[in-house]
Amino acid sequence: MGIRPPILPKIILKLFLGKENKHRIEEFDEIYTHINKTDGSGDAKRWYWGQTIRSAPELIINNFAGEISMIKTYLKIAFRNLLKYKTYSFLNILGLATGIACSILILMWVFNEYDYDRFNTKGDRIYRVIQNVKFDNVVKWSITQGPLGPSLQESIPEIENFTRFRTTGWAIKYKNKNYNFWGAYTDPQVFEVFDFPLLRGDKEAVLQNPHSIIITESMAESIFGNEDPIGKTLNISDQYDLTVTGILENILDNSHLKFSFLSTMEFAKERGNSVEQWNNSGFITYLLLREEVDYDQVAEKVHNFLADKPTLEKGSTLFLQPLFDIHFTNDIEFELADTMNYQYIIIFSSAAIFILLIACINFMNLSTARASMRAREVGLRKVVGARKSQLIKQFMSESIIVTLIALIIAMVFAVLFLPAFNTIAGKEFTMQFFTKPQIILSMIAILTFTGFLSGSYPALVLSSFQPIKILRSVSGVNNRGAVLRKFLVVFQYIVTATLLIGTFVVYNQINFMQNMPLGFNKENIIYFTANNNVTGSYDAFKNELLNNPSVLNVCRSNNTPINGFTFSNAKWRWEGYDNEHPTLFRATFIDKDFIDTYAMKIKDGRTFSDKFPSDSSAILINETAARIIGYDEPVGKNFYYENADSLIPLNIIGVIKDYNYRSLHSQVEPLILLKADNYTNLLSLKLAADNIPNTISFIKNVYEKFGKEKELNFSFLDESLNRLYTSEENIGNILQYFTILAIFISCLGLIGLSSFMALRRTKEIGIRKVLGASISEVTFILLKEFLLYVVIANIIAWPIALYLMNNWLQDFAFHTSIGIWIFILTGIIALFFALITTSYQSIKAALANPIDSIKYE
Amino acid sequence: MKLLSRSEEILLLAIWKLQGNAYGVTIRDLVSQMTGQDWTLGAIYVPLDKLTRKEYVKKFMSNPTSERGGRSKCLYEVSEDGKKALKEIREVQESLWKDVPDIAFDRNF
Repeated sequence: MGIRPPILPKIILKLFLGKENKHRIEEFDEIYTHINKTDGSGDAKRWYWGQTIRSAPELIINNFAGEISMIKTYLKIAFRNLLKYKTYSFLNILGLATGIACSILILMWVFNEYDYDRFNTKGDRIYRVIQNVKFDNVVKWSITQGPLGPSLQESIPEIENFTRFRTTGWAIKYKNKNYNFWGAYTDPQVFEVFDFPLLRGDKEAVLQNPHSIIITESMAESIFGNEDPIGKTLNISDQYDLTVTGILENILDNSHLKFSFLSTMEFAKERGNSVEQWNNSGFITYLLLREEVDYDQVAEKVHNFLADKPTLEKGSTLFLQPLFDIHFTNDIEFELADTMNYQYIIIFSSAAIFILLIACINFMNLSTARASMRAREVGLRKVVGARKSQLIKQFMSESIIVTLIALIIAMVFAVLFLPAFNTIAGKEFTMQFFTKPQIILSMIAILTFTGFLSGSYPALVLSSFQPIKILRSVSGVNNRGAVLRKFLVVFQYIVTATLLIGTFVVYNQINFMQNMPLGFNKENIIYFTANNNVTGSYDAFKNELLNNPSVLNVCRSNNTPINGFTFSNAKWRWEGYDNEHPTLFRATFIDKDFIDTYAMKIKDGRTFSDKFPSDSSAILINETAARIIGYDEPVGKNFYYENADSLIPLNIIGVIKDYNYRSLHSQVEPLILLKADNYTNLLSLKLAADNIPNTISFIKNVYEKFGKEKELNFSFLDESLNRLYTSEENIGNILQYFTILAIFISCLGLIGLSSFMALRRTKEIGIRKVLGASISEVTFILLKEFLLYVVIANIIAWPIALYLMNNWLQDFAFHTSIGIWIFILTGIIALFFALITTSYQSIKAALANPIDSIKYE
Repeated sequence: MKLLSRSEEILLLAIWKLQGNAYGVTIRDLVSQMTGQDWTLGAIYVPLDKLTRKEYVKKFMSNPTSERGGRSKCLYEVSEDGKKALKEIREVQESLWKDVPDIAFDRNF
């Protein structure tokens, strides 16, 4: 027949037309071939699709037309069964609803993570240039040299466009009020690459004038209030006047690029940024590739582009990072926004699936356990002529109804728990997320998946019972499915135990990170950025503060110990320096009080002091740096900084103990502390522990007096430090609630299962008691089975959890070990919950009067 | 008499008209032509099945055809019952039409 019709609609048609109507599909094909010949394949395909879509509803109805009355019966029986066994229906539905609600919330979270940067319609063609800088080991930088973007576009024809960002923090003045904002210098063509929505202003024109600034809605609101910002003038650093030319919609939470304003590269040049020189990496370069170009080819051309350029980062190579990968990559330095470890997405997605699975297992277990009760029903139905397929449909419709009810309740749960989930996960989801097509599709998928999965086993097993066997045996008990049931219970507990262990390990690690000695004092320290008025009369300001006995220490620096370093490069030289192995040193500026304020330990030598005028060319180094340099006695030796053609000698006056100046995700790196009193404007204050609110209001007053500024935005160091681990904390929280849910759902299952077991063994228990068994013995016999499952499950879960969590811990440069207590504790918790959920039914059964139980039919 | 729906009636007529060459494709063509609407095959099959169930049409397989690569088509023909039903419908309709007063059409000639 030549050209084949599209495969998907053909499958749909086959499904609805049924096997016996093979010739009908051929008829579709016949017309398709005809249209194909006369009007071309496009028309034919369209016709085929159109036919399929328009025919489907009628065909479906036709398919079921004969069964409508049967479906009614299925539904009626299903509801009757639900109501007849109220407890079990309740346990089932509650378990399923919890599981589904949990999956919905997690799915929302996962989809949201995937949504990062997706608002950029050309996103699949946008790449960020990553610089692999060769120091002692390779370090990945998100920043590249200023001229890189333009010269790449010039020499590689596959590049359609580029845009650069240079982040910058500004002191902005409007009508004698001061504001601080973070923003970026960028190229005028930024809107041709990214789709930041512009509320006011013309995309073509907004950044044409070098002295223009575009601001976000929220920044406009805080500066201008109700005024119209367009055309207004903002004063920058008391020096430049910029005109507001456009207003951006607030940058979405799910953009990796975050800024409050955008200004021009021309202005960056005017302010002395080396936009056109190769000697400074400070720009984030994005490339927009042409449509349908070969990415590998471009990447190859870009790779060694810097080889013949006069950069400071000798031997750097370049890579292209797809825009949509940025959010999921977390080993790049100078990243602008939080990134999400891809592992977490996988961990959470699988946790959600497993919790759903636990709920499905409950359903299956309860149904198979109930099989004994319903075996007679099945037998009788078969005797009066029910076909196997009809029985399957009946059981399926029961499970789908249960799932449907559970889904509705789950949505209510999800809505109710949304605020709580937001707090736990540190997100801001709204109800609108529920109406996203992905979420709705997933809910349909969940419904089918759970409905069919949990219905499949009972449907297939129960429907294949042979009526003669069921009806002949007095008890009607058929122990089929017992093995599977045992296996499923064990599986449930494996998942639960793994989650429990995971939660313990995560919390243990967070605790470890928050309490690890960092090498500096973090308690009762506040820090803030001071304005020029304060730094201009710093000594007077400091003295006035120190007059208050509650202020113990004041120092100024470029960075606090927790927010990194000022610059990092490989231009440091020393005796015995190996030219082949350049080494990266981090450096930051401090003053003489810094070491005392943060109570850092000096291992050797001394800190900066006013008594030594020569200290302006002195440095402190940390232990790691001392180790790399390799001097026996570093104090007093010279260390050099390469500047143009000469070496600037610097005298090492002290070695300080290593401290962690970045989060504990990373190792301590070599650090150099330089003395620079007059350029630094970050002040740190060590306060006495008592009466901090009073001290702070005192500081605010002093600041207002000196700074001529009302607002003092300060932070507590320990709080900022803990914020470095928010991502881990959120993970821990989510995992914790997952675990509680998993335990809860498993317990629901055990309650149902144990009561069925007790019921099934009623006679056995009666006879045992008649023969002299005590209540405790009988209880133990009943409990034994479940406890055994839990123990087996735990033993299986241990190596799995150990492997998974060890993997996770590898992400941290400093991590705890997984102690044996975690496993033991997990075992105890699992046993405890199994015990309390199963013992009630067991004891009840054991207490029953043997006369009643033996008489039981 | 089992009542026929409008589409069933049209289909039945079409099958009758096609005289032994009635299968999905030709029926759809003719029906679309007669009514001036584009019928989907699905819309043909549903009433066709109903007609088969009511035994107004009979299915039979054709001789193997070359265009189907040696497979046969499933053809339909109107049964005696079907023909009777069509005639009855026509009689019923004609008797109904007869009693409609002329004034109802608002003739202006």
